[in-house]
Amino acid sequence: MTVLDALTDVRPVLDRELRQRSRTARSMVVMTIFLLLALGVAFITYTGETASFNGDFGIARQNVGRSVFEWVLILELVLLLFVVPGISAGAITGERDRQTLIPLQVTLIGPFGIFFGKVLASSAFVLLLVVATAPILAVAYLLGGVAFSQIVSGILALMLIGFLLAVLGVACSAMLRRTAAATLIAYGVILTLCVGTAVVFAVLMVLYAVSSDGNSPDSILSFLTPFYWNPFVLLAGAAGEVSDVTGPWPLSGIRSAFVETQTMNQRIVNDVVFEGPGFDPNFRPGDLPLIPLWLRSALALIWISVMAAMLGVRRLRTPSRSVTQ
Amino acid sequence: MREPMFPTNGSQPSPPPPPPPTGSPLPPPPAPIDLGALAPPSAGAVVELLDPSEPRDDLVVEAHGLTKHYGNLKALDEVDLEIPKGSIFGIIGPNGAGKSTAFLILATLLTPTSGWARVCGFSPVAEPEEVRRRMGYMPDVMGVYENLTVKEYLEFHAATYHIDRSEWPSLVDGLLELVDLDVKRETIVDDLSRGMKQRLSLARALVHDPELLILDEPASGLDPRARIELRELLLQLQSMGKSIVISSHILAELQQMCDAIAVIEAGQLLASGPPGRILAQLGVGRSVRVRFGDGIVEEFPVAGDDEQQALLRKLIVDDDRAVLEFTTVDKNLEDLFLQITQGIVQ
Repeated sequence: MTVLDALTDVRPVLDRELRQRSRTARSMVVMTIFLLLALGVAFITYTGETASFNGDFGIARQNVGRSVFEWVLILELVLLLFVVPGISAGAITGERDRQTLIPLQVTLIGPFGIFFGKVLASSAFVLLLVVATAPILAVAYLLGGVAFSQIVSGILALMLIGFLLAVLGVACSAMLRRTAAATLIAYGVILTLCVGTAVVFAVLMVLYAVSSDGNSPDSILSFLTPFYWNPFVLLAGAAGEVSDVTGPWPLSGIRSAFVETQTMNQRIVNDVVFEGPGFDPNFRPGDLPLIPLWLRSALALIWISVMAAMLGVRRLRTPSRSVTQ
Repeated sequence: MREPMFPTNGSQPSPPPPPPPTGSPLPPPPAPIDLGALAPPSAGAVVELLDPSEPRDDLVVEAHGLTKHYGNLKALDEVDLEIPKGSIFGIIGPNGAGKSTAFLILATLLTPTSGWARVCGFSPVAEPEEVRRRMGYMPDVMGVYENLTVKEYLEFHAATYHIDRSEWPSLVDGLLELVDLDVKRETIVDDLSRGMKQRLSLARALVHDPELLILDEPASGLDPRARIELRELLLQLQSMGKSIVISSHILAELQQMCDAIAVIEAGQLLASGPPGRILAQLGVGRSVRVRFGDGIVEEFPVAGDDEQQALLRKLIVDDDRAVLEFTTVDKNLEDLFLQITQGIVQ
């Protein structure tokens, strides 16, 4: 199948989905709530920051801009984590419920076209939501403390996360028979990505503290690996910054924690290499991962989404051993 | 550029194959009918049936030993089918008999456990895309997309068959005219009556001008007028050269329009062939009810008018019996159905 064939297959489903979605009130309601919440968070953050201001107005204004930017992005991510499974996990099961999947499967559109038509339709809505909130982020930019490139990379990261969440949601929808079950599993997967990764990290750290003398050079960095599947880490890698100035900034906080852990690991490595036992002949002092945090996280999430997509497309392939009507 | 589908040049369907010679008397129910007696292929044809690499030009559907198991349940068990091109072929059987399973296999949706099938010359398992280009499938329940008009619904399905956008207007016009829904073009699909939805579903199955239509219970839930309209439409499609495979619970309608039928129960093919021939072979084609002067009523099976006249002469002249009433009783597909099926539910 060529890329052109794939796009030809995707387009009818995408066209129809967008047409139907644009005619329902639900899309407008969701977007209105999304915008109102983003505005509310921006307003609360702004007033909270300015109320506690005493000192240099220029620095304070930049801090306010940074706070608004990061908290609005965090809110958008949290909303996407709730909204995207809600709209994507019913994509295929909804077709089954309406008895429209079988007529679609006997057409020339293959399982790839059905699957990614649904994914793109869900992603298009995410795109709309994220773009609609761009003016709020522009206010943060005007206040200062945020580079234009960070706003762009923050928006792009949200879009990527939205797309990957849609892939996971549609895959759940393809593999399960009922919308409720698909939605539940999709939320479960996302909860695992967001909270489960932190739990795994905590467990690994406890095990490390119990079983090691604290000087093993190959442990702490690998313990961070589960976090790469965390959407918050991807967003932090894309939009957070590491600076001397500190504030109530969640994304910069996450990114700084990673850098600190890497630095701590570097110190342990240096101690081990030059003073302690467990000399690693392959390790060069000064080695730190060259791949940026956002890219490592993006690759991890893309990998899991590709796996999910392969399972979902496979489930939609016909003829199959059983037909779910 | 595709050839315009509607109106057609009225091409005639190829004639059905000549009936095979009748065999030995059929066993009484509930024993299954000897299929060899109903449709015995020639010695050469047997070889072809066993060789899936040799498609037959005169058949639109071939199946041999088609079997589908769901765990211990045998949804289809060694079913053989030969459906001539241009014919209307009815598949009848009680609920759960395996009709829909057979349709799902032929429609490229389900893989058989064993056996093989060929639809329009292609394997629905190995070459599903080739089959889909040539086959239109209408499931028993019509799915409806919310908020789409009739026109948009057909345009969407035209797109799913990669039909060029420039052809959509004439295609949709032709289809809507054919199924008599042209005045409903801008109506939301969900607002149509059930009969209209069924006709729209038929139009959807025709959107890529297939040579074969597989229709699963198309008349289900329709009122008498809608059923008659649907039957007329199917006959019209046959006159346009389409082959139609249809299942229905309304046996009288199948008898009126089908060139051949297959009776399936519990996954097994009980009988196959032209309805008249099966009725005759089962001895349920026609009988005569006679009431004699002494009040006794008897029923005699007869093959045709000549035999009926001979019977009357024999009773009055040869046997010298007083005949008060001599009534012809024509049996139909329902009688056949009741006689050869046992009401087995799997």
